[in-house]
Amino acid sequence: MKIQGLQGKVNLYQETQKKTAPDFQKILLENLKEVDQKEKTAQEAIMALARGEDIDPAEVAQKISSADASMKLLLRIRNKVLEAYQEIMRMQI
Amino acid sequence: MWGNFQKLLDTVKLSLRLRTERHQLISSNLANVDTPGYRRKDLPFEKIMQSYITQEKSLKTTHPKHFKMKERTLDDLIKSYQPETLGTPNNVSLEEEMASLTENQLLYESTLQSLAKELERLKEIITEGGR
Repeated sequence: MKIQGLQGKVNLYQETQKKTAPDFQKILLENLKEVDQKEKTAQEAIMALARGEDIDPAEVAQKISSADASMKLLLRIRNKVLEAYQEIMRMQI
Repeated sequence: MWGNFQKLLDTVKLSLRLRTERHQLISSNLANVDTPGYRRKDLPFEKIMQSYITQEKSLKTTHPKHFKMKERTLDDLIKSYQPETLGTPNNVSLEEEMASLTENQLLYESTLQSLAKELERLKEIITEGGR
């Protein structure tokens, strides 16, 4: 039986390492900005309704619900991430 | 402390107050539908809101004895829009008053509900964020 060199495998490994993963911080910031934007549009819609402008109440309700759902999702994800972090912190190596 | 939220609260508070005022006026119109010589009363909601919002940037008070602009002007606005009652035949139309009453009530409730939702979300953020 002939023993093969590992060179090919090493090259393959290096090539896979060159593909950089998407920046986690960028993803996080983009989603945070999106949630914040939704919150702002919902508040703007409520202000418009209070001022008596010609705006559909259904549209206001939809914007509020959208902002609500986004905020809830963000909070859940944040809590999960913190839980995972604490789990890793408690891990014994 | 509240930042942008304070502005929303102020606007909604004023809006609800004006809607209540308007509800009273329309109710009195409905009650006096058969009174001879009664003139219908109403206040143009959007006009008052606009003039209040544009003059929001009023003078800063640096002394407690300075005149407070806001309260006085708001009351003046509400009073100045009530027309004079003259000895003319009354001009109340029952259907029109009913329609505006319903519309006013709907908008009042939707404003209040949206504010309640906003506060609920704020509360949830405060409680969930501490976990």
